[in-house]
Amino acid sequence: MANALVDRVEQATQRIGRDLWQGLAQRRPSMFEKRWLLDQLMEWAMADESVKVQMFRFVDVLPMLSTHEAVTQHLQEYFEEVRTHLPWAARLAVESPQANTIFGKALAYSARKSSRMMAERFIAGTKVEEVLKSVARLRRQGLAFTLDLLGEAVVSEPEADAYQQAYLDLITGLAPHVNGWPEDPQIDRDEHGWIPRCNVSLKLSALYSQFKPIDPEGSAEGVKARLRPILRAAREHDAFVNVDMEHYAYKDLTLEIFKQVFLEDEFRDWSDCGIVIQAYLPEAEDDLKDLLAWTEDRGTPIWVRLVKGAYWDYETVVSEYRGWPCPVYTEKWRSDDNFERQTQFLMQHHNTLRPAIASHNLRSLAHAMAWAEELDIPQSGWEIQMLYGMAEEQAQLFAERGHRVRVYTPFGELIPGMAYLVRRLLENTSNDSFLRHAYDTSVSIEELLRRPADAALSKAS
Amino acid sequence: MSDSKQPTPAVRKAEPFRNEPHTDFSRKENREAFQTALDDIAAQLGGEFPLVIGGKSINTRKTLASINPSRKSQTVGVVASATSDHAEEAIAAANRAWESWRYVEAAIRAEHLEVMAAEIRNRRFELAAWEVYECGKPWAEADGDIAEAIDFCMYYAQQMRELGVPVQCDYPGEENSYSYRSRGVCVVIAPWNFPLAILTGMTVAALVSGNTVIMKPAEQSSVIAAKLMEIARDAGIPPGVLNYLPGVGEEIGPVLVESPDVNMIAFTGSRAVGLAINKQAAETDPRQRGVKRVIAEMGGKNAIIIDEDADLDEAVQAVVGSAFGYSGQKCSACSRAIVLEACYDAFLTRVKAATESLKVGPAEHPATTVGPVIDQEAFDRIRDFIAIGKDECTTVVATDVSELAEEGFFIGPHVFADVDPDSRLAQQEVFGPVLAVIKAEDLDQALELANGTEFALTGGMFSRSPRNLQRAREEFEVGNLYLNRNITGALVQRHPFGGYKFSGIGSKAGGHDYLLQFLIPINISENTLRRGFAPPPDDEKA
Ligand SMILES: Cc1cc2nc3c(=O)[nH]c(=O)nc-3n(C[C@H](O)[C@H](O)[C@H](O)COP(=O)(O)OP(=O)(O)OC[C@H]3O[C@@H](n4cnc5c(N)ncnc54)[C@H](O)[C@@H]3O)c2cc1C
Repeated sequence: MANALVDRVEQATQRIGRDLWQGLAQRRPSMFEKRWLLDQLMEWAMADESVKVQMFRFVDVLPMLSTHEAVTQHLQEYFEEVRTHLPWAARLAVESPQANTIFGKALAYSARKSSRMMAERFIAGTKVEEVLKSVARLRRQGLAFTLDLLGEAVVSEPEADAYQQAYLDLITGLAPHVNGWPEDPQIDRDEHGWIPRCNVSLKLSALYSQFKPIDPEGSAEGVKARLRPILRAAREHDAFVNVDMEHYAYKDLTLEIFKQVFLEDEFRDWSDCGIVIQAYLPEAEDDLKDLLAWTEDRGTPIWVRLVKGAYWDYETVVSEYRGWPCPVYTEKWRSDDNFERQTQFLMQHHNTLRPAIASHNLRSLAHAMAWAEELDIPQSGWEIQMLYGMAEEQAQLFAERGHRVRVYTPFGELIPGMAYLVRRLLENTSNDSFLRHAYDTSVSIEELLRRPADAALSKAS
Repeated sequence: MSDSKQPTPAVRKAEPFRNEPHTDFSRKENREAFQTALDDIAAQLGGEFPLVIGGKSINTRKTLASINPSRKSQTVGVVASATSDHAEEAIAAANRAWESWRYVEAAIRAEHLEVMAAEIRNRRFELAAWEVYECGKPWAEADGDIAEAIDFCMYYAQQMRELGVPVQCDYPGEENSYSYRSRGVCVVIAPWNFPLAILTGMTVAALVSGNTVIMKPAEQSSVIAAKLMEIARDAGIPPGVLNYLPGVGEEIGPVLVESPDVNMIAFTGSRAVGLAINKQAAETDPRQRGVKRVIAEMGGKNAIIIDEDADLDEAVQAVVGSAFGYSGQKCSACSRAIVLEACYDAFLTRVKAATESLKVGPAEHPATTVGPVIDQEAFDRIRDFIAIGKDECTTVVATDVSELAEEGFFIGPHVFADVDPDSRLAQQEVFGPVLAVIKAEDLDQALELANGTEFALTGGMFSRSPRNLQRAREEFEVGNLYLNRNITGALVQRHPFGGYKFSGIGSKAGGHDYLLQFLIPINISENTLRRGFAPPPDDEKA
């Protein structure tokens, strides 16, 4: 690529980034407002790895505990080990944990309440009615949504049936309702016309209990049998279906099933579907090229949600345990850099692979905007996606500036929601998290907007 | 990372070792290569496999047919069947060979193992394919078994290189040297359930320590054993150092165990046979060189405790996987789930549904999770246990696989609840796809139930209470305790494997003190003071 072009896009990225930063400066970040006990705990967690481990473990087990005795007991057990690392306030709480005293009960109550509030920050509700309220609120803020049902691990066929049914209910229940909303052209239309308002994201592995990469044919059959009715319902009710990406071990099979089903006569001409590509995988580039060729052959565009990837900790741990090559980049800047390269690729093929750029990283998003600008892609020709409860003020700002912002909105019971919640907590407290740096007043805008490759250089020096 | 407080002794770290990675079957190229291997081996089924004694191949009048448990009509190989005369010949050959093998340097013996490991690695999918056909092992399980065989070779080689160096404890005027010698002739009696790994483990442990070996494989997996013989020969193990003696256990077993010229028996198999061997070996014939050494890995009646606060997503998958992987035919398999009352109903509902969702079928098919059981005898024995279960307990799952009955020895997974802790179903080893679920009021009772059998092999607990996990560490009577994970699939060096009580005699396979059992420690002290003059100690010489 010509250097001039690179420089031009980089300059645009800087300009856009700074401009957005200005806009953000007027808003108070909601992420780290000190409202709750657990906010405080989060801060300690970030300061100390051992506290973090104990805390997330405690949060993880909490929904399973049915009595306040069990809660105080676990609280005490978990923090016993890290007592000396904790500030005096927490020490006090941990040291007087007589479960049946008023103090014990109060402690259990406040732990439960805090974790529920923490969950509510990232999970939009447990029931469809609550979800409806949440998405209606998003809509009032000018934001689109995609819904994700948090489920337990699907280990049996009845559970896979239940997952399928929940999506069918969701589509048939929600679509008529949201389709009755008055039009908001910014989120309801793009250059090609109408965009479904009802948008769901689902995981293929949850549609078949024996989903096993060792058996791609059987797994594909099992998944497709439950997926087709969902797709039919979606088409009928004008809803959009996105296939989420999970662990690396499932990636090839997920792509394969996606390609098989959307090439079937019934769905071949349907463009309200999408899939996810994870930039923390070096393989993202090849997968995207392959998807492009496939889509051209199919003749109907699809959406591609570009993310960095949510399973970074898992992938690094598991591959090392098994003695397999690590499938993800192990330096943050490489994920960022790959994200930018794949953003460019998507923008360059936006008529075939419609870009949904999913990130909370201002640099990553400014870079996407710069490319869209460079290629004269209208704002409606691509979209920005963010997670519920994260970087809300950014979402607001982008919406106000005319972008279509879609919020990935998980809902479901707390116990099965824990895996999701812990992923969000890990991400938000990671040393490499953009958001964490963004709220750190000692980090300058220059650093935040630095080109990934340059960040690597400065780290090395 | 541990979940709970440990007393804080200085940490002793295990020596570094890299396990052979399992195959990543999410990769297309691996699946295709495996399928190709299956196709290749299919074309080779039905061959003949003679005995190998003192480097010579010997055909026998009687033979054993090894058949594919997934497809009864298919003969995997026709294997020679040794007589007691052959057993005597093999013992004599091994004894002769010992006279030179015992003096081969430890490092050279270790190198032989490394060459064997390399050869197994080269033939990895081919060997796994043999296991799929001969033992009804599903793909990934067969692959894991081959990887473990490689690990045993590499790990014991590494261990022997260290043990081969004498430990000096010199004083002025005296040199003391502590070193190891081999025992002599070792009989290895191996099971069919980890047909390459366990056979290889016991065999190469004996070889690398300077013993010579008579390898008596299980009747049901003698073809794979012949492959190991082939590999050892190709790796340059001299004639007679390793002998391949398939045959009927009841006929040649006693000859091997009772012979005055056998010094050691390494056995893995059932409790009954293990105890019988131990007894026979204890008899001392006036002609024998010393007291025989027996190491025996026997059965288990392994339990997983599910605590109130367990992560059920994980617990259900681990219990189902540990209970029904390879149709429960592992000594480490989970045969009892002991569930705390508070989560009993939720757990049972999910285990039922998950078990019913498992795919039962021929091992050749990659979709199969639960393959066949090994043979007619196993089939009948397991069916008897199922009858007891139906009679005495609540049947939760009774998978019907009658449409596969013509094909092979298929038994679908079974789950029984309300199992009386003292009943046969809760006490005896089934070695098949049968899980007993038992309710416990509290953790005290759960641990009591878990410990309430004559076995002590593997066990597990799912809990998120650091204190309860600590109790399990201290009170759960098993050789291998697994916390918040499945209880099968022990890896060499990471999970040295073996039990106590009636689960085994001896230390752990794949562990750092395993080889010592095959060795005799010797201490040599030399007075170096002559007429008031002594050479300087070693470290001052250089
Ligand atoms: C709408 C939406 C939908 C999503 N859907 C999916 C999905 O289907 N599948 C999925 O996997 N994820 C999905 N994600 C999650 C997404 O992957 C994470 O939220 C995202 O990675 C956070 O990245 P960021 O750009 O916001 O933040 P940043 O802070 O810029 O990046 C954090 C990310 O960088 C990567 N990273 C962190 N440390 C390192 C390191 N040391 N080396 C290399 N890389 C590192 C990780 O991917 C980490 O999540 C989705 C996100 C959104 C917004």
